Parts: sequence; C-alpha cells; structure tokens
Amino acid sequence: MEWEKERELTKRAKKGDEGAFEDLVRAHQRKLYNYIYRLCENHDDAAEITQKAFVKAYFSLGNFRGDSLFRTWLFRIALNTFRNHVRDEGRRKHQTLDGLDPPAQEKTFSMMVQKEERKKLAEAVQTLPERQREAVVLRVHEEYSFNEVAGIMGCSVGAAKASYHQGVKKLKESIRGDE
Amino acid sequence: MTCNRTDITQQLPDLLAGNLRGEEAGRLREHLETCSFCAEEYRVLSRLAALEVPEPKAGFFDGLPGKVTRDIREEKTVSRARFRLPAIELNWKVGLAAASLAAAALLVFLLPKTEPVLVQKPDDNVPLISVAMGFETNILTESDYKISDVSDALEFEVELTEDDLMEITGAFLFGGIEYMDMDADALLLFEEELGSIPQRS
Ligand SMILES: [Zn+2]
Repeated sequence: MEWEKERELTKRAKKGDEGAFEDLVRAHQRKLYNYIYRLCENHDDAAEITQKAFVKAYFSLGNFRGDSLFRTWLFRIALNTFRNHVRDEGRRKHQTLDGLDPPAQEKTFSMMVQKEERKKLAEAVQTLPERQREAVVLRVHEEYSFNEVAGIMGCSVGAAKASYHQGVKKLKESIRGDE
Repeated sequence: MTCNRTDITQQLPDLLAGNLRGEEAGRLREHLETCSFCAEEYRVLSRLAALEVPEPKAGFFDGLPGKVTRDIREEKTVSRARFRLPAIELNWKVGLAAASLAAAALLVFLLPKTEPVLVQKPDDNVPLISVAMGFETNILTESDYKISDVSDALEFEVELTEDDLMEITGAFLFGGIEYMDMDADALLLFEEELGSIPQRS
C-alpha cells in the first residue's frame, strides 16, 4: 500500500472510521499472519493473535504518530500480543492442522521431502528461546534492519544483534550434518 | 570454526533478500568463497528463508477484517448502566447545557407517566443521548431497552460504549442525570472522569 494512502487511512481510522480500518487490516493481514505463524508454527494461535493484535492496534491508534511505518508499528503491537499469549498459555499448544488447507490429493515425492525438511527446520526454529526466535524471524523473514528489530522487540540494538546471532548459531548446530 | 567478521554476518540476511547494492553484495560474496563459517551460515539462512507459511483455509483472510470490526465494536461496549433522567427542575439546567441534551430532557418531560415504557432498540452506533431523543417516536415499540417511570423521572438500562459514557458524563455534570447505577467497569471509567458517582439514596 502506498504510504500516502496508508496515512490517509490511519487518519480516518483514528477518527473512528471502521471502513478505513478494515482497509488497513486487509492490506496487512497476510504479512502479519505469516509473521506470527513463523513465531508459533500454529494456525489457531496465529489466527487468534493476528485478530487480537489488530483490535489492540485500533484502540492504540491515538499513539500512532506516523513517524514509523504502520506495519512496523503494527508488528510491535503484534509481538507484545504474541508474548502475552505465550505467557497466558503457559506452554504453546501443539500444532493443529484444523485451520489449514487439506493436503493435496496426489503428493509428489519432492513435496514430501520438502515437507519433511520444512518440519525439521521449523521445529529447530521453535526450539529457540523466544527472543532469539523473534530476532531471527524479524531479521531473516521480515527483512528488518537491526535498528528496526530492536524497535519492534523493545530492546537495544546490541541485544537484538546478540539474540539474532545466538539464534542463528543454534539453528546451525541443530541442522548440522543434515545437509 | 568461527569468523570474527560481524560486519559480514550481520549483512547476510540483506544479501539473501537482495537488498544490497552490487558493490556491497560483491564484497560479501567474495568473503563467502573463502570463509566456510559464513558460507554455512548463508546456507542455513537460505533454507530458513525458503520456509513457506502454509496457506490458511480458503476464506480466512476474507473473513478476518469483519471479525476484527466485530471485536472492536464489542470492546467499545464497556458495560451496562442504569440512568435516571430527572423531571422539570433539573431540565432547565440541562436546557442551558446543550441543545441536544435539552431536547432529550424535554422529551422525557413530555412523556406520560405510565410504566413500563418500552423503547425501540436503536442502531449500535446511536449514542445514548440520541436514544433519549428518540423516546417520542420509538415509544411503546418492541425493545431491549426497558424504561420505567419512577414517580417524576425515567429510568432506563442500556449497553454503553465509551463514547456514550463521555457524553453522559457531560449530561451528568450539567445535572441532566440524577443518579446512575453502574457495574464495576463503568464505575471505574466514571470515577476517572468525575471523582465519584452519587448513588441512589
Ligand atoms: Zn566469515
């Protein structure tokens, strides 16, 4: 979405325009869902957290100054929502496939290999301590700079770098010999 | 096996994403050819970046904006509360306060003293004062809103949004509302605004 269009929509949403906010949700929902999914590898949780994060964002619009991108601001809110969710759950639920598309009828061999590989690596990401996982996902998948990662995580740039490097180191170790 | 070139390792995700300019990208690729530590890291990052998020069920993204809006509306409704709009003497003060409030109070004043009076449920977005103003036209129709005539005043119970509360706070300050019985959440909001709430004696 163009920056100006987004600015206009946030302005209108701030004044209580529900349609404008729905447009913002439509524009960002896929990105936000994917981001949260990568943090929890679970559709139900990702769907719930995404929805909650948007609601929270709506009621926090008054704090959105527009000096950062809406997406970056939204990601910060969503990360806090995710952290609260994890805390409230106590432990993360096991993967449920309920909300996902049913597997295709004919599975090719390469798809199965891909799936196996996906599972292994995704599991390795899930075993990372939370902060390290957050830093890796934000840096690698969301392509944020370390400054932005720190802003979203609410920590220093040094801490963000350290979390990232520790996370990558662990990932390397856990899949080494697997290639 | 290690590498102390943190300037390189920190930029590997940018190289992967294609966010580096030619010169910079070239510098990193050169390093990757001679450093097995960074080369391994780059391979791991590549595999990681290639992980795709499974597509949710069809319709999930179509339905999400509506769900968000529904939750927002629900959250705006903070609580139920009972109000009493007083009769003649106080209505004069209300009349001075604001035109809409005056109109509301006037309608209250004009209502026949029968009980209970039913008022049609207004649209979700109609603030309470508008409800009050709608007494005349909506009177004695089917409703969720129960209004009972209590001697010289009206009592009614409604679902409130935060915006309603602010408006009612204004009405209260100008004497448009005699007392309120509220649940804990609404009470808290009001106390933040007013300090305390007079209760029915
Ligand atoms: Zn190196």
